[in-house]
Amino acid sequence: MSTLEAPEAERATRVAARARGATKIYGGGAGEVRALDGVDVDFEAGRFTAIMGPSGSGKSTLMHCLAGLDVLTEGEAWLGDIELTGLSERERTKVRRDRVGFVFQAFNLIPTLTARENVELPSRIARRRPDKQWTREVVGALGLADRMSHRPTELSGGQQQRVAVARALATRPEAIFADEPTGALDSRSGAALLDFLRRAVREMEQTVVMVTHDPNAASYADRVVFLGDGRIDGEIVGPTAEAVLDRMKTIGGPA
Amino acid sequence: MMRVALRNLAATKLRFALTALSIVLGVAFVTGSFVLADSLRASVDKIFDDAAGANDLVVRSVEGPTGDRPIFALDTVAEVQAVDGVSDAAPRLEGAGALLVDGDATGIGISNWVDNEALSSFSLSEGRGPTDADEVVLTKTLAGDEGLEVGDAVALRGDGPVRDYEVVGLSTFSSDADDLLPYAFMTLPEAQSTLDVDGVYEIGVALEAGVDPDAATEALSAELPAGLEVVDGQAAIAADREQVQDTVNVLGNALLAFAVVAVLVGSFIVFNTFSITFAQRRRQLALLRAVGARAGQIRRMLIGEAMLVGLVASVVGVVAGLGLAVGLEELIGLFGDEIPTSETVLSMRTIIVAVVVGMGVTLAAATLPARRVSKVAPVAALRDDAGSPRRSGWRGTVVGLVLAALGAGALYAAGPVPGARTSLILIGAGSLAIVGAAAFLAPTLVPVASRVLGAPLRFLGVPGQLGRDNTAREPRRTAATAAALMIGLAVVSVAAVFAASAKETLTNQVDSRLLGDVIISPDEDGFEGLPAGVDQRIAANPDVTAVGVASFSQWSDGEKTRDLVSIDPVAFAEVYDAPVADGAVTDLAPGGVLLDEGLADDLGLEVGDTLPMTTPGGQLQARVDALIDDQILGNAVIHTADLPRLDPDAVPVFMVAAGPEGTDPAVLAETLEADVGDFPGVLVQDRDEFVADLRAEVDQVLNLIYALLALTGLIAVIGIINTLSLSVLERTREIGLLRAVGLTGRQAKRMIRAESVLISLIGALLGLALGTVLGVVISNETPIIEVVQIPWAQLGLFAAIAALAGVLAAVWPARRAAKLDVLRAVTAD
Repeated sequence: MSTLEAPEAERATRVAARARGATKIYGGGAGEVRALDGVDVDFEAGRFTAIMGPSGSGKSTLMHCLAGLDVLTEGEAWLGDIELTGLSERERTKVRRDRVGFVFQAFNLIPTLTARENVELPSRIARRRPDKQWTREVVGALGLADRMSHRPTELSGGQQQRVAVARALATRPEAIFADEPTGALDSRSGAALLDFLRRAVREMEQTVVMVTHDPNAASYADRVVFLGDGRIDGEIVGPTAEAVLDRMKTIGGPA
Repeated sequence: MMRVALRNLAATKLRFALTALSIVLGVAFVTGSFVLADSLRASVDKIFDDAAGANDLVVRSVEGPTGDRPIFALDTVAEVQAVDGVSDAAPRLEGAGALLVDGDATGIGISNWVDNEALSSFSLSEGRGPTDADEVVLTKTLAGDEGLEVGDAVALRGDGPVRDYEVVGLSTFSSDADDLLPYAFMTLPEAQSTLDVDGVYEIGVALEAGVDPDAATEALSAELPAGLEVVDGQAAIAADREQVQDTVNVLGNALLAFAVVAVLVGSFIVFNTFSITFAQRRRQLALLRAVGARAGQIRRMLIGEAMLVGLVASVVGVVAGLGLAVGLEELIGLFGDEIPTSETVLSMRTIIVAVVVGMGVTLAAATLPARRVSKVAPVAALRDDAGSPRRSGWRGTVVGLVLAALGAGALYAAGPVPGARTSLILIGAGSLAIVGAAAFLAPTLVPVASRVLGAPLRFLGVPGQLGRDNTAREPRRTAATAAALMIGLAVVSVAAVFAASAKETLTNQVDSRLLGDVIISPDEDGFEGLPAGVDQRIAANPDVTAVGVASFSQWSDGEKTRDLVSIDPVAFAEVYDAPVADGAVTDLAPGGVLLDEGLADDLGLEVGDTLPMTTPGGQLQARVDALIDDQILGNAVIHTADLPRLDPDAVPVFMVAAGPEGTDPAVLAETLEADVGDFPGVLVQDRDEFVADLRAEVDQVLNLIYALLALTGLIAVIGIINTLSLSVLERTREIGLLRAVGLTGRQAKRMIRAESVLISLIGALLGLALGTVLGVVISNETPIIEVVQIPWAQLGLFAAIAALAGVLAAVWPARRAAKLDVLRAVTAD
């Protein structure tokens, strides 16, 4: 459905995550809330996509359903070639473990584990040997090499978020879902983190889907998808902060 | 602020219930102990009051030198009856006997029937009193238990051979406690003949209406021969009543001691729960502070909340205690003698003590956590610092080390002093100090213990590792949870080590000292001695080459009455090799005594000195022939040849028979059993059976102790459940994150289970180690324990049970962790 500019076409051929008629209804009867209302959207592999929208627009719900944290009421949510809607909780857990990377706004790390143990957590949960070389590469790129034996309380907020990114990348997931990853950071640490997410996509060929309400953060993405009232409300490819901000002003829904 | 406190309780029903439960159980145990002891006391009093009420006055002989009262002539009854003001007098005779049904002997009392309601506590409920020598009246419950009715034939034995009787009536005691008093009543001459007593024990006296008891007592005393006294009905039974009440008191105090352990363990749980729940409310409390509440107000609110929990739990505990009293009665009945209670006594004292204990424990447990959290800075409401690391409690470590040093010092100072009171106090205080020290040091020990004991959890992968790390995360919390189990298991293992050592000592003593093959003794059903004639029958068996007989009696040194054993030294030495400190058992000659080494020390006597002994038959200036050191022979042993003069009533209670070289004890026991088969109430055992019996007696006490400690274990397990569920609640986001990045529900359960089992094992192993060390020390310092043995298999079993308890305690918290809503956990702010 989306048309792409030529320079990026050659690496954006495969779809990492896809929603088709995605509908999520909370509650029932008079109190029914349609968080998603027939969303059709593709997130291409090897690209950095931001989902934007005002509070209550359904952007987090869309992300949760695509990441296997939540289940659609109607429609389909695909992660690579797996349709998530019909899966049991147990199967979805395995999907999250093996094919998804998460970066939350805060509280990303297990306090009793060192940075390294946190990074290797998904592989260890799966009782698989972590890919040491890949991990080293990621950790090096994130500038965390000398922090890996520290516990989260000994790390700054920015370092903690970078460890979370390293964990998300460690299993080479189908897609990394980041939920306001810079929300709790100062602007400098935030910029560094976003910069790294972009590098992970461009240099390491990873896929990142980021939910944010910060136009500046969204400007790091290759493409921004706008959501309003549970529906897709347009997109910008190759966004700038100004363009995103302008676009946001025109989106309806509860602000 | 109180309204806020109430709202909080309502909002956290579950935490409230879990906190309250450990208080409820402790209070219930305290209440149950009091109620059972009070009920027993009341029942005993009622029985004795009824018995005392049957007589206006009692004529009896003056107490002899060793505390017994000699029998006196039957003619006295006529003399008493002749005194002015006496309406009637009845002689009374009483002794131990057995009722034989299908070869089984039931111990009963045999007495003469008094056909006068004014002089007897028993009245006929059916049939008539005995008039012929072969007629008996049985107490109704006894007849019911044995399936006997009026008209049935029964076999009875007193001090002689078995005789046949016909049941002509059934009697009941005036209070409904005749199951406590199984009796067979006969005519007076028949009772005298069966019990082989030529006289009476006492005479019950009924006075004419309007006669002053004091005047009648004076009149009677004037008429009676020397050696007899007149007392009122109450005084006549005072000594017996006191003796029974003493037994009840000992039981009541023992139960209370176990209740105290339960309360102590419970207080750790309560303290822990308050520490966690108060800390979890930091933000809420900080908010209250931010809107203007003072620290003192916060503290009072929290303590008020706690006291409310304590009050409700105490009241529930008192009610539960009434039920527990019944359970305890059943439990003790299961292991020992049946104890009859005719009523349930819940005294005001019980209620007050129980509520004070319940609320006191709650107050003590809530004060420190409330003080700590009330100092929260208002700004903490705005910060999310739930995971702030705790300072290590160096003060606790110091207190723990000091206590440990004091305890070790006390235990060392106690030393093996036989029966010394200070030594016992030092051992008790030392043990308490050591257990206290362990509780204080636990937070320091926990991280080490969890690393060492938790090492194998690595093989369970991430869930195992996380479970292990979680135990080390809040050492104080883990320590308090584990300490509850630790204290329970420390007490259990002290008992286990002591009992194992006692059993091993007994076994060793019997093995090394008992030279004979077969032991003949009265069976447990109320017999005081072996029937006359058993010794001849045993000696007559051609397979028996030697028989040693020990008869029991009593002697007094003027202050204290002690057991007195009499033997034929030559015959006895052939079957029993008693350890001797100076001389030999065969040195004992008529007119001499074998004296216990320790007693000789106390009295300053040596071999060749003279010991003045007062015996039931008179004085003996006994020559000390040798010094012995043996539990079975006891304090003093005299020669059988002196027995007719010193105590004609002494009965043989212990016989050892030996066969020729190479005899199979089991085979000899079987032949001898056949030989004395017509003597009921005689137990014939080969060496192995005898030892097994001794060990079983120790085990019975031990099992009762275990059963009483089970409640403490239950409280400790509730503590683990409590801590784990609170931890799961506290770590909602963390568990949610783990689930988000791929931890399955099953793995989450495994993580909680690993934590639970590890906490249990830390508590169990600390407790077992502590208890074993204390058990060894205490056994070492107990003079009668000669061999100290550690029951490894049993201790291992306790550890396994503790691990299993950990698995069970985790069931519910683990389910909660697995069912956690991942989305809400990771998106909650």
